[in-house]
Amino acid sequence: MDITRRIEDYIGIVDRDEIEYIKELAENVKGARVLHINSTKKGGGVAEILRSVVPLANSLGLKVRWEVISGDREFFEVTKSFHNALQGNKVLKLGGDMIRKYLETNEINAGKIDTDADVIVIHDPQPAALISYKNKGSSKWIWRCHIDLSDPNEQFWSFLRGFVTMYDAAIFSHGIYVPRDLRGIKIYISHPSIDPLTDKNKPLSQTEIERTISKYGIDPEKPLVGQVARFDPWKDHQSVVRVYKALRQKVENLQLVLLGSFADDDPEGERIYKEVLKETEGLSDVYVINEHNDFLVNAIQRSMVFAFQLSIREGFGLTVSEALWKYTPVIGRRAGGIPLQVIDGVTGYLVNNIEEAYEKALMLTKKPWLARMLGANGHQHVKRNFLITRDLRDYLRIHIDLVAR
Amino acid sequence: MGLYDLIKDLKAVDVLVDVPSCYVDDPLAIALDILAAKRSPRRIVIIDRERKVRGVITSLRILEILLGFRGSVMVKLRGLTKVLREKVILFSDEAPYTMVRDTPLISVIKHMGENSIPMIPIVDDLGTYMGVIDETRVLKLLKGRTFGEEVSIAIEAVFPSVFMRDTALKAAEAMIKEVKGKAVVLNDKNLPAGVVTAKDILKLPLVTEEIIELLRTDVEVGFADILGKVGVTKVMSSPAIIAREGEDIGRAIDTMIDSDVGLLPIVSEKEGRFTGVLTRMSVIRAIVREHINPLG
Repeated sequence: MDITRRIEDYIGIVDRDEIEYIKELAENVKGARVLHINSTKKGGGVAEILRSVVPLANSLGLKVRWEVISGDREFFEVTKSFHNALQGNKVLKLGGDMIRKYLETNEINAGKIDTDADVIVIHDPQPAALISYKNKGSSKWIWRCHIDLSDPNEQFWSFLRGFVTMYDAAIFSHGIYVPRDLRGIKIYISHPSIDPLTDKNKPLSQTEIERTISKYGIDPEKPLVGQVARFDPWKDHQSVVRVYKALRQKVENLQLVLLGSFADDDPEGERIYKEVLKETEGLSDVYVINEHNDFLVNAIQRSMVFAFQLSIREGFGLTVSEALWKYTPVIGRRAGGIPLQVIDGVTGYLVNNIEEAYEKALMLTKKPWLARMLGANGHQHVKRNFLITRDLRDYLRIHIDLVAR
Repeated sequence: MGLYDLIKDLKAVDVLVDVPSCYVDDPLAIALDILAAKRSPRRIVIIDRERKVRGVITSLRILEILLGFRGSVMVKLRGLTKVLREKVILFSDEAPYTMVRDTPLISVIKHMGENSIPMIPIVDDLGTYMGVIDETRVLKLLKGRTFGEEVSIAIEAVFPSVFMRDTALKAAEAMIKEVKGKAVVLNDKNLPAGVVTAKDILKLPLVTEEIIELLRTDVEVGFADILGKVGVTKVMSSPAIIAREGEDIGRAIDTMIDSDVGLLPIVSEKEGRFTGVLTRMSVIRAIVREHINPLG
């Protein structure tokens, strides 16, 4: 964790006024003790945001801690099923063993984690049952949901809802993710964000970019397209490969990169990774990279003519903002938070199927000036709406609403 | 002229509207005053002294504060009088989503419809606030057309409703619970008799007078008690302006604009029952889905 990160580090990236405004908001909750709890220290958007938000909030005078629950492989397999079911997999069934494992692991963690704080923010379903161990007192418990609950598997959701309704408030990444039957607690909407100062998003020199991608065999002189997404069934790497196969008939030397990694709580990753490898077997100019390497993500996103984000379901799809921040337009499906980040025809294109994706991809590879224009729009869009400073502001507002005196 | 031809060459700056705004350091009471005024919108933009957009506040949010659903610790410890004098920005809604002036209008409308965003503040290249494009502005552009689609494509079946015998407090609580700024008031036959909005409640003379008194004397009052004594029929707009099942959605848009209402209860004449509502947002979502997105 970068403990030296301070709000002043963002001067020049966002307006000085914005920084002053954030400091002013923070004055209202100075000294407030905030505890974030999630299920992984690395991998995935939640851990990334916390790595930035926690030190930043501390630099503003709040007393913020971050704890991670522990669990065995079986627990994370159960919570992966939760994740998939809550995002719409209706085939999955919630068995008694799964419930037992989930509750047992939450109980063990409740005994280990000190929850003495003014505000406790529990991220996602994995630790949601910790609310059962809430002490009597004035602590405010918030459930921060990073996934799309607009069309959940009813069996899983009705189990989880029992815990969620015990919270004082819930935060969703998008207004349309809020389940229709979640009532009686305060609901806040806050889009997730990217940190422009991390290895993944900081500025890189052309030499650094070329040196980095060359190490993986990617030729900096040839056009590159690709998708940065963890290996997960919802990311639909197969569609990207199919579009690429059609594109390379028309665009000479076109390279494809599929870069992903597995999170600690993602046992399905390996299976998907192997499927993608099989799908691309024998194809030259295709690079399937399984590596958690933020610097590499940065270099690749800066090298692409455009990025794909053809996910069928998304928590939010922050890789879109990451690419846009680097002036790389995105061709994305209408899933999760992708339509919030891709303004159709302005920062990239929204597509309904792989035929449309192919058509737009061909256009962008043939018209680099158009890709550059969309990329520039994308950078501004992210600067205004999806940077960590805005996320921090939202947290401060929510803390003010719940505990400011 | 077809819908696409009408909007294809327009940019956000060509159609934006100026809505009342307040400054970040204005007291909350100012926002309440603006929102309770006749013909003011139900949400206002909060800007700083450099005219950068910092937040949005709605009449529903103010109602939540008055009734203790928001900022409750602050209200409890300091009292409502002091809270009404606090900076409005502390109570604003989530950070607003902004777009630049040259964004093609068609992209703005698609973006609003696909993401259910009711209002987008428009800024210049330096991020300075210029105005907004909101649901009403979009519907005004769509007015006077026939879409060949029935209102059913935009119906919302789940919406807050109360009965005529209920109090304004019950209506306010129903709106807060469903996070909607409006509720349908039903008669004893379960048919719409009127519509009540958070703004209607804020405009209630009892509320406005009590707030003035509160700020003048610093004597605390309980707004829940006040609203609990007022029947919802005293604050609702009636008779309810409705849309009928089977009606073209274009006609419903015309009704919304001509009557200046943001919600139309839908009644099935055949079955003689209330089936749901049309909202400005549900209409825009449907038009984007059925008529604008297919244009590419």
